[in-house]
Amino acid sequence: MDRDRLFLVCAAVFFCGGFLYAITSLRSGHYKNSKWNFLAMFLGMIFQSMFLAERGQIHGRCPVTNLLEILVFVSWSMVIIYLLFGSSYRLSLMGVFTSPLVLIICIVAALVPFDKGLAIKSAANLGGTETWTEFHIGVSLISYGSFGMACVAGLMFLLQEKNVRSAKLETLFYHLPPMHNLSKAVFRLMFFGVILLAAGIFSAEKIPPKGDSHPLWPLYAIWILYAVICLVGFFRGMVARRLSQFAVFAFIVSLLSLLIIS
Amino acid sequence: MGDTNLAEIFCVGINHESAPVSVREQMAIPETKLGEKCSLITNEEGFYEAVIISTCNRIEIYTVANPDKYSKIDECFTCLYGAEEIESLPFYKFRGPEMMKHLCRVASGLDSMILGETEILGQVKKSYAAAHLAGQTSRYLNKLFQNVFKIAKFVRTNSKITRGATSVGAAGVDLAEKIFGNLQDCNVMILGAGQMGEMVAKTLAGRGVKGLVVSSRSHDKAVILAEEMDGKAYEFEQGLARLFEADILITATSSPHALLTKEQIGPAVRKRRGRPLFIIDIAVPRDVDERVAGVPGVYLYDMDALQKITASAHARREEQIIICENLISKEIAKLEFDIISRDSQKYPDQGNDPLATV
Repeated sequence: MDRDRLFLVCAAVFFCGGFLYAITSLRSGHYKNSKWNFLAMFLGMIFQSMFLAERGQIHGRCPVTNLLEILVFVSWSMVIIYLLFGSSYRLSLMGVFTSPLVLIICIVAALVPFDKGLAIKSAANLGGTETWTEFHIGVSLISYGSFGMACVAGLMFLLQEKNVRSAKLETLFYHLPPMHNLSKAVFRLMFFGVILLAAGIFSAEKIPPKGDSHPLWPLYAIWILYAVICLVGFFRGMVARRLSQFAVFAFIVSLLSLLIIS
Repeated sequence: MGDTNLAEIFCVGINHESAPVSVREQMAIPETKLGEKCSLITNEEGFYEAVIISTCNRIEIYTVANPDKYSKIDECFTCLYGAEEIESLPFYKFRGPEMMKHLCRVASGLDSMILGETEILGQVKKSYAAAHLAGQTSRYLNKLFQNVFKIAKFVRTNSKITRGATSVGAAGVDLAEKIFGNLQDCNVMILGAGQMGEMVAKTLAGRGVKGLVVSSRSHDKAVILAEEMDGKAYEFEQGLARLFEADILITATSSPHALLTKEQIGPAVRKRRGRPLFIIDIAVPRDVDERVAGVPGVYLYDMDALQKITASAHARREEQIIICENLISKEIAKLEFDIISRDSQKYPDQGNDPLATV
């Protein structure tokens, strides 16, 4: 097995382990804000980073040459955002909701064939890379990671709201954070993503035009979509349920936009 | 304190299952007198240490005494209340492992009227502290109680016995905390100044809400209740007009028909700019039209819904009893080994260590 693929398998093992541990302890009723789940996510992220570094060396540039690499990059930024903000905002269960998504991405990316020889050849032909290009790709995809985490927080909100409305005060009700905290997290993550994507679009405009560059209009469309949601939420106020539904819907649209971009 | 060469720990007492409240209330001992009462027991010959636990549901005495005192252990109560007072009272008594298990059950809330209640551990700790301060405990009861506190904490942490709301007020608080997170930023409005509304509002106020408003058709009653709860009183119509300011609304009026409809709530919710409104309707007939539950951002609960929550919490706690008892047995088993091995150094005459028999 190639090294890059092995790193991805290792990342998948840690995400899967953390997820299974959390689910088992939730079912037995002994779930606590666990350092083990956090550690599993952290180690998974390290292996994702090693995969991206390995592919980066092969490509001689930011490793986003196909849809799966883009998705691995997005999932990597989601894990980074969770590790930075999730635990400090008492949203530790967010890791449990994030890990299945990143796990699936890792498994699929590890299974899809990758022509290493061809990638090395094209990297040699490509020559040096623009700083603005690297910045544009990195920042834009981290903004997608932020939108992804807003979607995860939105799903958690919708689940908690379902528990509250149906008056089912069971295990998940007690472990999920309060709805107010979740809706705040949804808004902040979307806002953070809007700022990063704005920087990503700005940097794209600085890149000298080339024949093989990706279209920018999907990025503009996604930015406008999220910016409108944030503006309406901030100035007019929006019921948290609707905000969460928008976060989920907008992230699905964002993933579709990656199809066009890639 | 006497010679403890031959001594054993006993427990004797009455609780809510063995004696009616009329008896228990007469026998209750205030916390400030617990130490003094313990000394009445240890002044008797053959009794060396004592702790009295007196709560609204039980009066229990844990004492270190000569083994032959077990058959006449009721004497502890005689010296506290007199022979006539305690005649024919249905005391239960325990010694050895049963005594230890019983105290663990009590401290873990398994023997409480409200199964799994957490207040009892604090009460047992206070009882022990009172006896300890009065110099009525020594090595045996000190060790017993310290270990029981650890076990009770372990049981609470490793089971779901304290999980779920067992009263309407607590169910309201649980839901409110999951909607708003911190209740310190929440304004509470009570429509109607009845007893039930007051009870729920007091439970919420106990969590330190930001502001409290009482609005009732009988303004005098509203003023009295508002003063009692350090809040404001509004005329009824004024209260309805300022509905949008409330985060938590408790309705408990005696109105024969619904006071709040979807059409009335809608504009108030719009003014809240997305902030949720939590309504607890404990009036029968209901004060809030059930269609209100369909308004986005409104969370409406009536008496049935809240009682369903408390009933399911109670059922879940019942299911936890066996788990808790297994945990207690396992922890006691560990303790036996621990104490004997540790005490073999400390107490050369191991057979005389009351806990060694446990």
